[in-house]
Amino acid sequence: MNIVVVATALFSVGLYGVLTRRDLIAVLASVEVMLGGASVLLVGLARTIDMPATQLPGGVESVGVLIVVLAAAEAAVALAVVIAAARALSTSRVDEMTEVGG
Amino acid sequence: MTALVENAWLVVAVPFGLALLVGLTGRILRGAVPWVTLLAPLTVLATGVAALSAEGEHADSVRWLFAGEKALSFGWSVDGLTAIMLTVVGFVATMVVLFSIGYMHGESGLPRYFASLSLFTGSMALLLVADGLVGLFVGWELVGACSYLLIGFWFRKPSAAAAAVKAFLTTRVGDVGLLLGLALLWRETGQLGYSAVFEAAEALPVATVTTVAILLFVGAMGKSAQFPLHIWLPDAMEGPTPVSALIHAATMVAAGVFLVARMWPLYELSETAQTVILVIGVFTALASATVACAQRDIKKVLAYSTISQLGFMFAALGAGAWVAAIFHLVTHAAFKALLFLGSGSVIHGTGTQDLREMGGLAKKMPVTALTWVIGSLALAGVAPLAGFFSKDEVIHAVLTRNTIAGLALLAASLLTAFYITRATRLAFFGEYRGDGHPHEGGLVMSVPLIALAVPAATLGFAGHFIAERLHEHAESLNMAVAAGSLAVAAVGIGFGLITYRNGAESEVAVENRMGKTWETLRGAYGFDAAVSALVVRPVTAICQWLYDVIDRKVIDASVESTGRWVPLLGRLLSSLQNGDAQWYAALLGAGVVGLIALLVTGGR
Repeated sequence: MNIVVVATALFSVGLYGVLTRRDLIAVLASVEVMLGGASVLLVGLARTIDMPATQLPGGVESVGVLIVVLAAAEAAVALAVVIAAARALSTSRVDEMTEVGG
Repeated sequence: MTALVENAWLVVAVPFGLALLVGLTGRILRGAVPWVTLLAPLTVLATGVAALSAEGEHADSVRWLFAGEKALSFGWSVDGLTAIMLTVVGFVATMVVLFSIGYMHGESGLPRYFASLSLFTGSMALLLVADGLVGLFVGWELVGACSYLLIGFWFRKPSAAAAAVKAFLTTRVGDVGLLLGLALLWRETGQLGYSAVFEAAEALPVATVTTVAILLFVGAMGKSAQFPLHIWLPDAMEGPTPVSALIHAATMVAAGVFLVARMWPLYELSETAQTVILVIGVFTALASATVACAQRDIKKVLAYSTISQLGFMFAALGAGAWVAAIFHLVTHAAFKALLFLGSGSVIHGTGTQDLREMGGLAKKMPVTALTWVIGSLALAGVAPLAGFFSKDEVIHAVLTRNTIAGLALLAASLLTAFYITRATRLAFFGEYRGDGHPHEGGLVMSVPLIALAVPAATLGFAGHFIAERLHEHAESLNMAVAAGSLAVAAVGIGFGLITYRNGAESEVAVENRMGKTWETLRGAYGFDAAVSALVVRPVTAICQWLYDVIDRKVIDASVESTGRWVPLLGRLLSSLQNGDAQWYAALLGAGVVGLIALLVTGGR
């Protein structure tokens, strides 16, 4: 159960960061924390729940690796978006980016 | 000829079609408009004549409005009564359309006028050929609407517009009674076709039949201008005179008499309803005959005379002599239409309606004068003209039923002879007092006058024929009553001639001598003013209050407040969408938490 607690804590801390940090880079970092929480839960649960090896080639560990790869790709794209946004709006603060607001 | 009777629905379809045609293409047809319109009354007349000679009854109907297992049927049927009425309507309408060509010459809006006339003819025919109260009611309302359109033909004249509204609203009061009667009949019997109703009515309690009969009679009172719903008819004289002849003398105002005669099997069951009709008929006949004596406007004389004569018909109905009522309706249609068209000819020739500005017209308008005198004598009840026979039957029937009512009718006859003598003396004899150049209106106006003078003189001999067509026993002339009413007519005419021996001077003398009495009579006993004070003004005040308070402060206010709170709500909602991605994410998170909570608790 500890694993679930740790994963939930990580995810919540990340969510809190996403919602409260004003800097775009910090928000992005918080997203990574949320992702970390999710992967901890996956890998950790794989240990406690008996999962037939046949269903996932390479075992449950492969999911953790997959998330790491995904996170890397996402970070690359997101950082590019952040830079482009910061240039276009001449700010990196999230609360100032309200162009789509009504 | 039988083809016309077998397709009697044409009497409605053709005039309606022509009304549409004339109304839409009047600008192209121009001078041909009246001649095209003439087809409408001719169709009605031809069908009426064909039906008079045809054997048996013809009918057809469709089931129209369905309500569960019940259905309103809508159809036509032609029997003796319908045939007689169709002939009358067709003949008078034909003459009126012809006369209008001369009378309305040079008016603008003629396509509208002739289209309305055609529409009226069709509506009246619908009222007559309907095989049940549903069709009758539709026609009933349509003739009312046409009457409104035609009274208000000169709608730029405020008095004409007001008269049109007054006529429409006053008859509506009666129409509500008629509608209530129909509703009650439907609730009690589930039938509105004539024969079905008569069959079912025999099983009803007398009180119910009486209620229905009186409610229907209220409708008839409105349409036929019986006290106290008569106030619209004198005002309706604002319309063109041919319209007064057609609608407000010969046909539409007689629809009430037709309704009661048509529903006679119902009225036969209720002694009370008959008494009510008798009382109102006699009272109206006598009271409006007195009023007619003091009118200065030639059309007003005829208007009150019409109310009085309709009172005669209702008196006959109330006395149980519905055949006599129809007989008087037919003869009255002829001589009163003649008198109205005669007055139209006079108005056309002199440019005034005031009797004091006429005089000596007999020399300048001989055809009008001659036909007018024939009509007057027929109205006064001089033998052997039409009015003598029919009025005689009416008075005989009423005398048999109730002596006082009969004597009141005799008194009304005396007044009738008196006031029509006065009008004739003032308009056609003596010296001309106006400053115009009186002239005849040409052939289109003389021909209808002559054509109407013939039945006005001779229709009295059709009594047996009419009774036979109505499958009733014909009354033979009662010599005592005939002699009595002839004496009454002679006294009335003689008294009129003596009183007005000096024409206009006598008129002034009479007015001076009678003073207030004459003024009261001219103002129709102030009944109109009383209605204004007691009914119209309170109702207007209530409506004003409803407008000020209910409409402005409740309905309008609530609608306008809608306009205020919608933007408010919008501003509230738009604050949700502020463009802050973190705010969206927070809402998203809250939503997910909510969903999960829902899943975990299972919606409890």
